[in-house]
Amino acid sequence: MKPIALIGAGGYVGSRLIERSVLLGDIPLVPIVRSYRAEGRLARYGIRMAWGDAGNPASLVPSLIGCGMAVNLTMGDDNRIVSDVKSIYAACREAGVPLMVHMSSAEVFGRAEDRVLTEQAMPDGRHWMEYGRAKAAAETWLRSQSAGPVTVVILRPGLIWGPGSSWLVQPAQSILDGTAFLFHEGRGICNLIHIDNLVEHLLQLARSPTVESASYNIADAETLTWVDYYHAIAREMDVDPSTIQMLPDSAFRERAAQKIFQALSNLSLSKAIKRRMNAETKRRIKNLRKIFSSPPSDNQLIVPQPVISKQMWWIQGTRHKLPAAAFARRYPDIKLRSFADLMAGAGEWLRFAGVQLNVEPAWPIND
Amino acid sequence: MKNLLLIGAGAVVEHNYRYPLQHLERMGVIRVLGVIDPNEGRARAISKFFKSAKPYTDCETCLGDGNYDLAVIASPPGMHASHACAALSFGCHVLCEKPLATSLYDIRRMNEAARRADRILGVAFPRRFHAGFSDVAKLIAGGGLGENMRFVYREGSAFQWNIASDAVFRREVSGGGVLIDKGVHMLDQLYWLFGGPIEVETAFDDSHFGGVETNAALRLGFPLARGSLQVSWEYALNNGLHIWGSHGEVTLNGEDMLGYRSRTSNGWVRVPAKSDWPADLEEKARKRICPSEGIDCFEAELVAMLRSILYGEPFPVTGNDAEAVLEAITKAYERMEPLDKPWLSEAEESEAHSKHWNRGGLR
Repeated sequence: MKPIALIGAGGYVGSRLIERSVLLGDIPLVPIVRSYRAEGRLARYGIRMAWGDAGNPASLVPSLIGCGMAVNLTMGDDNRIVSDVKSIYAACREAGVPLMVHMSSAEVFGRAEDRVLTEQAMPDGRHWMEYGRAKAAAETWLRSQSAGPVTVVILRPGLIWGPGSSWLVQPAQSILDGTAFLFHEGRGICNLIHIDNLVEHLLQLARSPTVESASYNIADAETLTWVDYYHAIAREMDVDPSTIQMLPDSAFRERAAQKIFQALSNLSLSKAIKRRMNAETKRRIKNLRKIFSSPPSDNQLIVPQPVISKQMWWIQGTRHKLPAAAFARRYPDIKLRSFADLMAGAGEWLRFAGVQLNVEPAWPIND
Repeated sequence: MKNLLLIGAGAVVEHNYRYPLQHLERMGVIRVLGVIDPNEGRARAISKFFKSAKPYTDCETCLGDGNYDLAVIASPPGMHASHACAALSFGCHVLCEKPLATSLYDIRRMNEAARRADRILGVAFPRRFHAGFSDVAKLIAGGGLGENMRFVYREGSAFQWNIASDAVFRREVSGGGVLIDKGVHMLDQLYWLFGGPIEVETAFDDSHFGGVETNAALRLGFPLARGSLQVSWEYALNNGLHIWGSHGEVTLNGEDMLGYRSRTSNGWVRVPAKSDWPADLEEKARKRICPSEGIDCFEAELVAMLRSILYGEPFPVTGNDAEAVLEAITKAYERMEPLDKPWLSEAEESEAHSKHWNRGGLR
């Protein structure tokens, strides 16, 4: 197998791929990062990273030469999503990499309200989140390159969960704190994909002798609702699932002021000002905010209160599981692990991280 | 007015020291005269923030050129000892970033140099200026939590420091990974709360040959408490310090510097902290500060160091305290065993164990 280049290797997906590669030795990788910081979570291996900036094709080309596949795992500013994709594509073309895999997101289809959505459907690009719009725009641009020399596979994972993922840690922590909540009685669809199942999709592409340009939704095999997911986590933590608060739709109301603030924040001018603001100015603004929100000076009984965000309200309202059978039809050798098996592993990780009700320390777990 | 020298001009100075020093300079209590960094561009970039500062690439030349009262050392940890000893030999007081050094030999050398020069060797542990922690230290010292205390202290998040080099990931320069980098703060806080010596009962980490650990877990004994410490550069953990005693139970979280939580018969209560520190250099401080942000802790710490020089007030962490903490870290590294990660496949975990840097105790 020719090496797989990971652009943005220091993130969650890249770290797991590198961990697997180091431990099992079955995947040759070229991890590419753009800062020393990105090496932090990989420091235990003592491996060398290649340097490259996704926004600068010339910086990527030397590392990409000889690779059989390049995977775009970059995360960061939403306003860089499209330009980074163009830049990575240009670098693949220049370096002669035959296959580029772009990690898009199931979020391009929002709440999946259209029941007849197919995997080859084009996202409409009208998402309220800039992230969703930018991911859709990147897909549109990549599809326009279908006649080009680089085969492009677009993968749209749902919520990536697994040991250490924020989609595991945050629900677990909120269940532990008593602040977990579910809208719509938790009946919304939770479009999950475990990190190891996601890695299997990438390996299938890397091992396949022929790959055609296409887009695939990728997901765990099971169809789960949010309540299924939260209850499974709660069971691993020995927490009574009935402590998860069920909220009516009316519990989320976006105030007019918030809408205006959000609209203003999305303006290019606001973003440009924010980007150019120096640290001293940011600090002064923070200090001003503190004047208006100083913590109470008396002892206060702590009453767990859910912190409701528009994103959580939105995502818990997902109507349908996205169709995700096309990948397995095209690459029938793929074997996904079951949710029950993977949740057992996630439970081991939660105990390692101390996210459990049992007050007695459960680690060092080697004892 | 005290004259200052900055040794090291990397991310620590950029993010933690620059603003407090600029503020103190505006207050007219200090003047930064020199900035040393082997990377001339870095030295020049930082020196531009201070009216009278000159950039240098060489420590000896800089020390010989000026007359400094205080050297703030923020170079890579493996170089702290030589930089501190040089500054002390030129008559400077020293405030050195954590970890004070990467070996006990170096710490002892630094303590001896400070004693010979009759100068203060302070160690920068800004968490000593978290009011919540300070209040809990007083609570414990006053017997408020009773006896037979137990604790769990976890701190983890994906590595976020915008570092200027990879020195922190090279064992020969940094002395280790997350334990000596972040765990040293936690160990210093536990030493503050529960006293020394520190006994290391068990130690586990995940470093391979050629790397440094990104996860570590220790079981520790102190004169006043026993418990566990877990630290990670990789994962968000259930962060915070939880202490159980015969008379009470409290939790502390770095995100809330201004208070702590105490369990009562009605449930958990947030207790606002009362500790504060001088914010000026008047002999009887007119202004006091209760930091709510990390950067404010650095300013309080610099003020404490200057007051220590001016009025002989005790500085929270000396070279001797740092020696007790580094002794524990050294013991931990000597006995590190592979950390279990049971969520990995059997084949992966077995391979991880076989690649452990301290396999069979033979590094």
